[in-house]
Amino acid sequence: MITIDTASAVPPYEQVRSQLAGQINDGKLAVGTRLPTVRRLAADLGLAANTVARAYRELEDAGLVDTRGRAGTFVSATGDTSRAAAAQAASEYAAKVHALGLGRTEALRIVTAALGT
Amino acid sequence: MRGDAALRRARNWLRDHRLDIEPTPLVVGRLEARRRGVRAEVVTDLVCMAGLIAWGAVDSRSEQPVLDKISPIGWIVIVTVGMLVGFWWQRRVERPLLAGCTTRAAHPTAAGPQRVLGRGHLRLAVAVYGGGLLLGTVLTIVAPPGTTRALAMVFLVGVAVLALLSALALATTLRRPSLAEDPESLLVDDALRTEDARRATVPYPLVIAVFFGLDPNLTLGSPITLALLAYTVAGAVYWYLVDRAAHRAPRTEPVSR
Repeated sequence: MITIDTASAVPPYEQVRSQLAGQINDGKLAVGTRLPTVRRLAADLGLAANTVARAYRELEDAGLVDTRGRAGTFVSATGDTSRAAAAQAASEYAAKVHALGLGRTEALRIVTAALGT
Repeated sequence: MRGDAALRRARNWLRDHRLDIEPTPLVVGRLEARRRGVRAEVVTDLVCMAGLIAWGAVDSRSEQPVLDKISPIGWIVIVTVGMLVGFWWQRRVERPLLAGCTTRAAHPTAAGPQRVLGRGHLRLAVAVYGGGLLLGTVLTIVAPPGTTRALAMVFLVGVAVLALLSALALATTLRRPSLAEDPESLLVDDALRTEDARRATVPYPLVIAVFFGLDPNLTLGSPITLALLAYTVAGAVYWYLVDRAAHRAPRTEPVSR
């Protein structure tokens, strides 16, 4: 299920994107699952079509979904790849933190702050 | 007092649909909208039926009355059109219900007719409507010219019109946006959608086949009447089995996705 909170400070497109990404990475949305059309999900959630289209576009850029023309948007087989990409980015960040001489606690605080935005 | 009655009706509806949830104001509002939709449907049916009866009274005085041949189809077309009006009215009443909600909920996956209707009901609809069209076509070809062929053609056209109206009602049901603010109201939305989709695909061609199979212009026991009655009996048995299986199926997950 996807929920949208219109009173939240998080933009609606980000709420859609993050929930879909979370469910794809958790495996709740299996590879090959067809997502609703942009217009359908927008109507269901009471959002503008452009808002949902932006969320889908970002998911596609992240390799989590594939848009197959008129057939629709499907969960792609790259869920594990995205995890690997996140792990790679974390390694690079750790190397940069070491190079800068920052401590572990401070590095984690920076990551936590970044994830919280 | 009125609110209490609505709440009680909502609780009864949820219990009948094996949904173990407490009705929220949105759910109560939706179920009341459903009641008003059904009321609009009944009024439409009554007005159209009065019109059909009046037409029948005028038609019976004409030299070549036609209504007696098409009236069974007319009744069922009225019922189907009434259902479409009821759906429209219900949507109209439901739409403002979400105005005060700050959250909206939806399924993250697309749902086709099979997941909304259920595999059994989808197969039933295809078998009854497809079978009716096939039977009507075959009867039109093999029936001897004259009254028998005319009746077969009316049967075929009637089934085709009903198939078209059913497809329209089903598409309306499948395409309508969810009205939900939380998992509970999304479950109710699923249940309402499934119920409406099954109403949209009620096998009315079986009723038409009975009327035509027992038409006094046809000889009872002739191959044509036997074919129509065999179609009716087979379809009715299939319908009963599908419905029984659907009622016995456990409901633990949202039906539509």
